Amino acid sequence: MSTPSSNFAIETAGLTKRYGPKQAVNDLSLRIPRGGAFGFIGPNGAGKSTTIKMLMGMTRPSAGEARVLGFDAVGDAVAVKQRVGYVPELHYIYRWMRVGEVIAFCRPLYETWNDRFCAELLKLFELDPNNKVKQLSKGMVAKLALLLAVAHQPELLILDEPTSGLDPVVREEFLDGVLRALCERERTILFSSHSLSDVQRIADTVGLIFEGRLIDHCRTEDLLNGTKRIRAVLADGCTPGSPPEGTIWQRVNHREWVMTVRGYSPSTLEFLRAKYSLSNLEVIDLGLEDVFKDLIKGRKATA
Amino acid sequence: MSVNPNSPVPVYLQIADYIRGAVAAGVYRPGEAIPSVRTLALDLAVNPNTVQRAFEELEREKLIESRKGLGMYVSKNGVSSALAQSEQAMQGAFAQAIRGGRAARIPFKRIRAVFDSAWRETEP
Amino acid sequence: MKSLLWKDYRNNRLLLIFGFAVCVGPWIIAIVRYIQLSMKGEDVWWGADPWVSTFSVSVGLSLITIAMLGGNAIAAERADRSAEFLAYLPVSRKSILLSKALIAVPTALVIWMVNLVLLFWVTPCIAEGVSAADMVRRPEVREMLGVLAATSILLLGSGWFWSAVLNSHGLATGMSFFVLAVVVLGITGIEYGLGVEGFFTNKTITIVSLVVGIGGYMAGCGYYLRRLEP
Repeated sequence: MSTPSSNFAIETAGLTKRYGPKQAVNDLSLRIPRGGAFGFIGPNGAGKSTTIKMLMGMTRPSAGEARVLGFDAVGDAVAVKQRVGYVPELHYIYRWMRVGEVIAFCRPLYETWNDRFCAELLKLFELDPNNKVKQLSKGMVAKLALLLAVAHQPELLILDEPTSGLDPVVREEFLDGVLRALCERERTILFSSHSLSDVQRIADTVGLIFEGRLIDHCRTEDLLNGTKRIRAVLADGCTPGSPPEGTIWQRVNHREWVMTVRGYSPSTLEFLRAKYSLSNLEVIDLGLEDVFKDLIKGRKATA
Repeated sequence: MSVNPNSPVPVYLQIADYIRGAVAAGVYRPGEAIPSVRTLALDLAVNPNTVQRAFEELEREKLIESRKGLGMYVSKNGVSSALAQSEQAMQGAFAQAIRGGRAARIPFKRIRAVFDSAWRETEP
Repeated sequence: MKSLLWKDYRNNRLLLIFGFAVCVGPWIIAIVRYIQLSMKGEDVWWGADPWVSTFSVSVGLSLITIAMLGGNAIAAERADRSAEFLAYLPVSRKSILLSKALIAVPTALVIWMVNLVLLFWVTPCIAEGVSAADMVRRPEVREMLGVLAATSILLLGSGWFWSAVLNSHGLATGMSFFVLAVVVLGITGIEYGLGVEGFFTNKTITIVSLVVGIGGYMAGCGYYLRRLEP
């Protein structure tokens, strides 16, 4: 089957979804190149799942367009699904089917199903083909869903909160399965997750969504290197005023003025030293979780 | 070894630091192979591209070199390069600690005393 | 396609078993009773009437099965949300719909075929005083066949439509009976209201039912194929 050539695994332009008066996704324009691992992060209800559903052709955009692996997400949805492995947050695999029956059901639908890899994963995940889906624990169902998603060797893996509600051991097993799929051949992966530690492990690029808008999109390390928390202790008589450029969040407590700056550079410190009299100035590195929290807190404060 | 995903240090740097430390400590000797991208990726539960990135960084530092079809090997000057990098990392850690001391207005003599105490504390 | 057919068959297996029991049950009872009476040497009924009644009981009860075949078709998978699983597999909505139709429609046809064969071919062979030609000549038999056929098509078609539109298969099946009631009461009401009893001939009622049934089926298909949500 011929594939329209495209360097990008996912391209959206002005993607919008409205539910009545509510804007779930607002003018989202995104380009994810092939071979990358893209982490989609954002608070609950930010629009991550809705965006993913539009990419998978499961809901119609109110405006804009989306292309997945060069195919139109709405018009060529079946072609997209042939090439994409999708793991949703909530699983509704037929509960009356046995694991072996589910695999036998899905197998003929895909042109590129790999029996060897499927058998390998069955063993790795310790899934018994004779168990009915309704007998499986939450973690086992998640692993089965992952097996179904990667056994057909997709070019793109889309994971929507795949590890939510899973205990730490199952989460590790699940991630191991994802990484094995990544090691097997180069793939693009898009995953939305609340587990920022998972994102930091797997994603090389992150996109932050808030209230349906993409508010940041950059390499994970650039986000971490470029966002710092500054702790300034103000001298007597000095009051805090306008913060340096790129400040996304700030808090004042007595003489202590703490701010998180996105796009930090040495000139940020120069600015502060020049404008205010400070008795102390400290720069603190932040992990992804802190950056995320400050970005969201800052947005909510300015909203 | 495990990666700390919550750390502000990017994962690829953590991996590079680990390998550098391992070479400096003699875990991998010059001429020996280091674990493959796949092995490390699965062991540490990180994206293989991240491991690749770490390797590229280390290759740039001339700590390791690629042998066609065989993987990554510790280069001859690996150890000295690793030591140089380790010193740099140590300087960074010291600078960070001293900044904290300066902020608390601890005098130089006391900082020196704290250093001696830490040296004794880390005696094997 | 084979996968889909197997899945739809398994999904509907309970209904198919129920349908089979309801379809065949009355006949077994009638045949057993007939044999019992004739073995005892007692007077067994002569003529076609009891067999025609058995037919109408069987098909009449099977109207429930037929309505459920329609109502369950699409909405049952929405009720347990397995439609959301199917939605991300590489199957076209056309295939999904076709597979469901290949289970629902042939089953309804089989119910009818079984009954027709039993009435017009088997009973003349085993019972006395029964002739297929005679039965067909009788206007009340023809009327009964027409009414049951039209009602079957109406229930299957409108059940199918409601199943495409709703998320609950119970409600969809219920709505198909509601549509039947609306058509029947509507026609009766119009006649009564306008004081024109008997204005609507059976032919008209049959045609209305066919239109509602087939129209509902096509509208249901059209809606389902256009929709993106599972």
